Amino acid sequence: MVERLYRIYSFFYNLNYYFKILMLLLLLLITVAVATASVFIYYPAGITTSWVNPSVVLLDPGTSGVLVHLYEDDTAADVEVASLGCLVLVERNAFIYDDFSTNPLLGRLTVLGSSRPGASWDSVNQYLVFDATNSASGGYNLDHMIAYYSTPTPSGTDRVYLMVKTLRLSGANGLWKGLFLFQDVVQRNYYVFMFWDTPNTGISRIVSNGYVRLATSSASDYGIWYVQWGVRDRISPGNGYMEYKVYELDTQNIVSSLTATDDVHQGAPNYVGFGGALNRREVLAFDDFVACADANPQFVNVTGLEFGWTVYLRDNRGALVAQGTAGSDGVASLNVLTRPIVRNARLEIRQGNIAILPAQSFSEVIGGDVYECRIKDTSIIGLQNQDSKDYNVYLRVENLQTPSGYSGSINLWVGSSATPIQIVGGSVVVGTSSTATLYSGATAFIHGTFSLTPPPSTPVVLTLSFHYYIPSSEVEVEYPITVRVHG
Amino acid sequence: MVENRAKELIVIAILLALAMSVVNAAVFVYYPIGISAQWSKRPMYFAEGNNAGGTDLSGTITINLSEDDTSASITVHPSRRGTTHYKDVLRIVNGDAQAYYIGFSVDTAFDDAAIAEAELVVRDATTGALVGTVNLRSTGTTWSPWSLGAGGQLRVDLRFRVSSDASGSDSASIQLIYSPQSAESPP
Repeated sequence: MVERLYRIYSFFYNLNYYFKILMLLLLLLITVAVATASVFIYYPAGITTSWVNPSVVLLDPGTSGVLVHLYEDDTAADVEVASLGCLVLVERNAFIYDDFSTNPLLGRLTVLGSSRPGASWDSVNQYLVFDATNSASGGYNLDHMIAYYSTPTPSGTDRVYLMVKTLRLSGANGLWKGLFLFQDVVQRNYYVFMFWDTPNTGISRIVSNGYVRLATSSASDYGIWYVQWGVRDRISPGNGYMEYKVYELDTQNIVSSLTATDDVHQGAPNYVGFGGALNRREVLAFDDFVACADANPQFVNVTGLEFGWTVYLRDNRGALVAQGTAGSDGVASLNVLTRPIVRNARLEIRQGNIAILPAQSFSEVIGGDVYECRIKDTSIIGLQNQDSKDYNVYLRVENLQTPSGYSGSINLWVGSSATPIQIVGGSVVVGTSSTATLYSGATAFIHGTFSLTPPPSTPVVLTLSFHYYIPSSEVEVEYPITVRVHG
Repeated sequence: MVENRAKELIVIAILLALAMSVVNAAVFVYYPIGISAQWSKRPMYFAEGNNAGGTDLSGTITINLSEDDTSASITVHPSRRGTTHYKDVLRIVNGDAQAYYIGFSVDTAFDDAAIAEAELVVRDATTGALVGTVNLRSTGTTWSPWSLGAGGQLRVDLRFRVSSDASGSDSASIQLIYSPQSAESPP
């Protein structure tokens, strides 16, 4: 026996090193295999489920334009929503607007007096120049060089608002430039709002070759761009009331502000224009002339908004021109004093960082325009908590189907949740709304805004899940909701 | 001559049969084998999840553990409409110093037609990462298997989709299966 053991020992002793390792590993493997043999342990568990009535049910809110089909004891819904559109221009109150992007002297603008040789269109800078340095004389009234538009004031207009930008390109102080409000062009009866270099800025009444200064104030022209703004009431009750302000273009600081009431030229202005007293020595530039009937061209107004929604006006390069936030009246006013004519403009509505309406294009946005927002906060489904417990509720997008070429914005939220589901174009930007509380016995609504531009030929189909849960125990119930948004 | 030869053959056959019967007689041979069973503390056990005893849609989420936490019973009250999720009702704890492989067998499935879907969802208790699911609507063994490291915990969630005009109840019985190896499937 001892000899046999000695033989085994000798066998291992004489093996080379690596083979020894191999043998040891083999032995270890066998040991592990024996140790982790096919042992299975079973623990029993029982699950009992007792289903109970739903704690929250869905309701048809009866919203106009929303068709709700409820089923499964009001725990599932199919909703058809008609997208009401987007932003619509409902009023263009500017009856003349000219940014001099084309030559105004080719028909729409008439230059009076002998100043005509000095009037030219600067196609590069796209403004109108009155240049008296070539001895062109006004010869009309006190060396006035005047241009007026052939478009008359629309009948029935109560108030006429005017705006123009002016720049003294060269020439000494002591001359003025401003807005003209004609009662009669031929008879030379008009009012003029004049911005003077020396302290004589004023509102004057002109009759033929004579004038009466109705109001004056002190202001200086520093050779920068100014915005001149004025208004006149044509008929009662405020007939003859005039207001005139001059702003620095860059700062919007008011340089001069005047008022006067005079009704000698009843009904003025029937025609409107601009000009100045160049007196054979001054060069003036005029830009962005706007005449508005019964609306202030300093503002673009957007109505029909929800409180807190902000409207952004951008130019064709995306640069912000103006913005305004809706108050409780649902109106946002965008101050376009410095840029009342925006070609290829874009209007965009946001609530904080949520795009209620992605940029919508307009060929032009003009001061005095009124746009109506037809995107409504629409209640698409009601929710009723029939339990004695409060629940937290939220919405989630499970699937989105959009037709090709679709663009637009859809937002959905529950109750007062701060962050809605956000869908822009064919993408889900935010897939889950933030949570709101649905108190015991309370009713709340799933809200939505829908703006589809252009209206798609086939509906956008949203598969949603509505969730309510008990915060303390995380018991959560979800209901399926399908929303089809039609253009 | 032929007849004698036949007789001889018959005698030989009988002798052979006798010899065989002697060889195959009721002989029993006994070899001794010793079997030693040493029961020790269970390495795996159930524990209540964070939401055990919590408020349910009706009543509470009831978890009863017995047999030294090696047996569990769960009672929940889902909505009879929609889909109801229960999170973290039960934990599976590996109290051992070695990893185990885990699976489930559904012995009695939920068979009430009102229950459209019933699922046991197993997640990592720490990360919440999905480990696997078990369909409670059909019997059978789910043995992927899922690994649970030494000292680790798994979280058991439940999901029910019920569609019923009225209240009702149903039960299922399952078994947690664990093994130190994963090469072979449970019997």
